[in-house]
Amino acid sequence: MASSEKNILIVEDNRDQAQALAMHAKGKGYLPKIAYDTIIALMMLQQSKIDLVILDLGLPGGGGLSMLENMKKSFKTQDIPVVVLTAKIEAGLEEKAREKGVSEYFVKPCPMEKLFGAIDAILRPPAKK
Amino acid sequence: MASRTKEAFEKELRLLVWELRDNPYRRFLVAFLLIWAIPFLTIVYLVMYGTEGPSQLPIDSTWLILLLLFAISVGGGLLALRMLNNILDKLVAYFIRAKRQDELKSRFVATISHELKSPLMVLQTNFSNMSAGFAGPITENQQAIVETCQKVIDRMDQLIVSVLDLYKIESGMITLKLTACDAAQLLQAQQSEMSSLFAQKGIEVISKIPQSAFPVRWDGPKMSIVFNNLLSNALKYTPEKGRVSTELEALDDFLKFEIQNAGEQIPKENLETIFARFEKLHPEVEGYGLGLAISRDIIEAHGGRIWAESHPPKNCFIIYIPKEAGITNG
Repeated sequence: MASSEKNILIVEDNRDQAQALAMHAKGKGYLPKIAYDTIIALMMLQQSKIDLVILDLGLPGGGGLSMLENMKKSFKTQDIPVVVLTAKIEAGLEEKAREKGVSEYFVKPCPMEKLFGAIDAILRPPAKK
Repeated sequence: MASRTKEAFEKELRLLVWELRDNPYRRFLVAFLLIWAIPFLTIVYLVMYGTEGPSQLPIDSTWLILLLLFAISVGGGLLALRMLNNILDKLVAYFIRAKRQDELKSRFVATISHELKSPLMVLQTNFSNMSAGFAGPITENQQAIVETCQKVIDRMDQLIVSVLDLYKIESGMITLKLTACDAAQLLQAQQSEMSSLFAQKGIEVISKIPQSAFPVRWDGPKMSIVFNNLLSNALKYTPEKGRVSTELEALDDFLKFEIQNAGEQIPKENLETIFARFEKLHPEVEGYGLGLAISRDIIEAHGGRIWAESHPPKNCFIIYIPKEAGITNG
């Protein structure tokens, strides 16, 4: 558990989903935090050290895309990697999210191995020899 | 009695007026008859009295005819304008209705997707936590139960994706994104992805796909779905240690793709019905009977055709598709 210091912020309005994701993240050795809306999420991003954000796009308080825009405006949060996990399948949504700097994009339901495989690749890149 | 007759007559007249107001075609017919009745009666008048001498006519017949022609032109013009107005009204109403229907369809897909996929994800995450032991130690029996549940979740997800795909294709919500791609590469990618599954059943796959590139202008990801559906069907319906063959052939502006598998024959009467939604040859075989329906929609959107043939002891699925997709399914 060398990466126990890595903090993951789960931004998800579905409480059951957020807690299940947090349990998984914890099991994987990360330190999860939960925000149920974008306003709280942005406050948490400013106040604590977050290494990665798992972001749902269909959120109260402005939606995931506006949160991405707000993250890009702040010097402190603009470089934090964001992994999108959404059930929305609007045309062009993925392209919009990627334009706003999203690292990975997954559509629900997504296997945990796939989601955390991508998160591991970002937060625990294989050591270069 | 007389008043009742009058009442009935008035009612009839009201109905007629109402119907004329409501029905533009009937209104047009009545106006047309009225307009032509005037010159017709004039000609009758001229024929009857004109032969006896023009002096008997109240005004000079040439002027009368010119006046009538002018009246007809003005009347016809006004009528045409009114009809055009009606048609425009109807067109505007049609487009407003169509736009609203499109919006409703989009909202339906978004809602269904969100409402079905979100709880599935909650289940999947929780089962994954149990399976990994993140929710406490798990016994071997519990592990098997969790794995079964995970498989069911995967199948439900596939069903949701298929139904939504089909809905989007059929309601015209999906437009093809045509790009330059290589047909041989698309097919080979699907074949190699499924090669381990064929190997597990001991099925030999004979592939006659030329090594050279087959440049086409298709929607690559959607055509990959078609190849995947056909290969999956061949995998499901070919008995163990059976044989599947695929062939890709260029015919002028078209490509012909053929997949053959030895297995139970598709009855002649089912060769067409298997392309219908939720139709399966054998209910016990895994899947929802949507793959061929989706494949046909995608192929037809490209301007191609797909059909099944039965050549005992083989079943054949044939795709005939333009190299450059002819229709952009708007």
